[in-house]
Amino acid sequence: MKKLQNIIDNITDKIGYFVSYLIVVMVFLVIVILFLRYVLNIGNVALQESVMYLHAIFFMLGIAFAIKENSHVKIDIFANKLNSKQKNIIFILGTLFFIIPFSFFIMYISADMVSKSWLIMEQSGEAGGLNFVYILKSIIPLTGFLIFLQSISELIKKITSLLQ
Amino acid sequence: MEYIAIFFILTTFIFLLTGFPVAFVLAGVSLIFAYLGIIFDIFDYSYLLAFPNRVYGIMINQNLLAVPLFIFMGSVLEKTDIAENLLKSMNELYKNSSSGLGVSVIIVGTFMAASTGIVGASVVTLGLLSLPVMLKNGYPSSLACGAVCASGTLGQIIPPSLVLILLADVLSAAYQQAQLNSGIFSPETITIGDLFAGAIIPGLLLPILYILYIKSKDKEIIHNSENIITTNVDINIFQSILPPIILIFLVLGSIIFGIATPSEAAGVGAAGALSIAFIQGKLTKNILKKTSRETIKITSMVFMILLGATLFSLVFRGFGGEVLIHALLIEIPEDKYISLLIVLVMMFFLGFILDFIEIIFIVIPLFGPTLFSLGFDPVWIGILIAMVLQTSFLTPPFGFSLFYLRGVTPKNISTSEIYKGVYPYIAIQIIVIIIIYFFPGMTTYLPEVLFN
Repeated sequence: MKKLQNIIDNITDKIGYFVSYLIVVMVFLVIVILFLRYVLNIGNVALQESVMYLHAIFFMLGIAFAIKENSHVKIDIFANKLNSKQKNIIFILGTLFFIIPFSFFIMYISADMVSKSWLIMEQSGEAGGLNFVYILKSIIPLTGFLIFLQSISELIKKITSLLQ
Repeated sequence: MEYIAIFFILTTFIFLLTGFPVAFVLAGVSLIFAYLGIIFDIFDYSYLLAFPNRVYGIMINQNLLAVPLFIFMGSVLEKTDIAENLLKSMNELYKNSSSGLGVSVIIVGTFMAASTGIVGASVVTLGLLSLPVMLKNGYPSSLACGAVCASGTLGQIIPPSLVLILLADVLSAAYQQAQLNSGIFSPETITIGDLFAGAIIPGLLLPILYILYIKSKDKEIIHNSENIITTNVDINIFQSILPPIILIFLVLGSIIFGIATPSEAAGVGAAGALSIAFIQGKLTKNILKKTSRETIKITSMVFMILLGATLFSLVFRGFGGEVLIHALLIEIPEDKYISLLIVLVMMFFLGFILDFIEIIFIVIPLFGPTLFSLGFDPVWIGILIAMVLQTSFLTPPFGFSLFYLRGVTPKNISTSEIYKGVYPYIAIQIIVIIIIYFFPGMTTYLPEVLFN
């Protein structure tokens, strides 16, 4: 179990670290876009859409990482009064009944939209845009899968600490 | 049906208080209610089918692109001590006047608010850096705490703030919905720029009133120039004060004068913050790593709440929640201003337990369209909401800023002293809200002049 937890944490970390640097790339691309527009008078739709793609990848794939890093905001005014065992139980129940069902839901409910998009190799709505809409849409179920993976790891962590 | 909607809200609320992450409580409770509803044949599955398209809509939303870029800019300014040096330099400037220190805390707080826009971060940084100095300079602890807390919370209203960006996005959707509902098929919209411009006058008025208040307390500060802590670090005032100020004007200017979209301006701001850090020799690989990770954590947290809240409002609609809101805002109140008051008071109280992100994402999509159908100006409403939330964050015993400040104040300062310190600022806030309420022009004048 410990091994599985380590493997998952490792995957989440690697993805989180890699994707986090996309913010630097986004900053760079925005500067390039402005330079092209005002200095060279060129508008570039593909470049603009690539910032949008990076942004979508950035925040969607970061959700599982934020679970691992315990960054999701909670209201702890009342929860602070609980002991760590009670907190663990709440966390386990919440993961089982809220996070995991949501992770399956997001994979399942988006399947139709994503497969249709792949079938027609959906293109950008704008002329000169990026023609990878099907890949962009595939991020939705992938996010669900990563959330599911990380919640398994979190469950293992909380259950082991509860049993100790 | 509407009873289920009420029950749904209450259940969500109870589970929020368990301390489980807000975003997943919103998503999880919504799913459980929706599927139970489907089983008992009182919920239409098509509401859930709309979800993937909503998610995709959030992914390709150009305005929300500004969110990670601004967070990144703020994180760079914070982690490279640019904000900290700003405060130290201001203290140097004011070391010879007793209320000067307090004034400089408010001015720096205002700039930090404008540059980082993250309330927790600015209250904590301001508190850590300036509380010890103020206390040693004979400031009564309540006065010192009040100044830190109030100026750190300015990040809510002073553009370019995250609150205003998110608010603009959600408000414009609600505003367009309201116009479509009343048969206007080419609806007007409001932009981030509108809201930024609208926030400028109130955003300047607040710190000015804060400063006047601190000045009026001059006599209570036992000034003793021997106690003054001179940092002795040779801080170049121009090097540490000017760059952040230029940065803020660059970002705001490029949005307000239409040179760049808010997202692009955020990118410019982030690039500017990186450049300042580079010039000061602080841009290390480690800093880049830390700030990127900090940014992805905060950004994903914000967007996950947005996803959860999206699911929540779909399910709330599916249970006929709109009928409920219509009753609450249109049928019961006889005057549209009472409807507005209901929403504002509700947000004020919600501000005690929910962060601004949740409030904006949950409450406005639900109440906004109905509110706008009554014919209120969206910029005016937006600024009122931002002001009310800010006041809520300062109000004891649950205000968020108070918790942040409590975390960094010495143990010997009692919580009631912190409370005592913020009351005058709450009063100032309420006065400004009342002024804005009776003189909407304070918020609508600048957007009209600048954009029309």
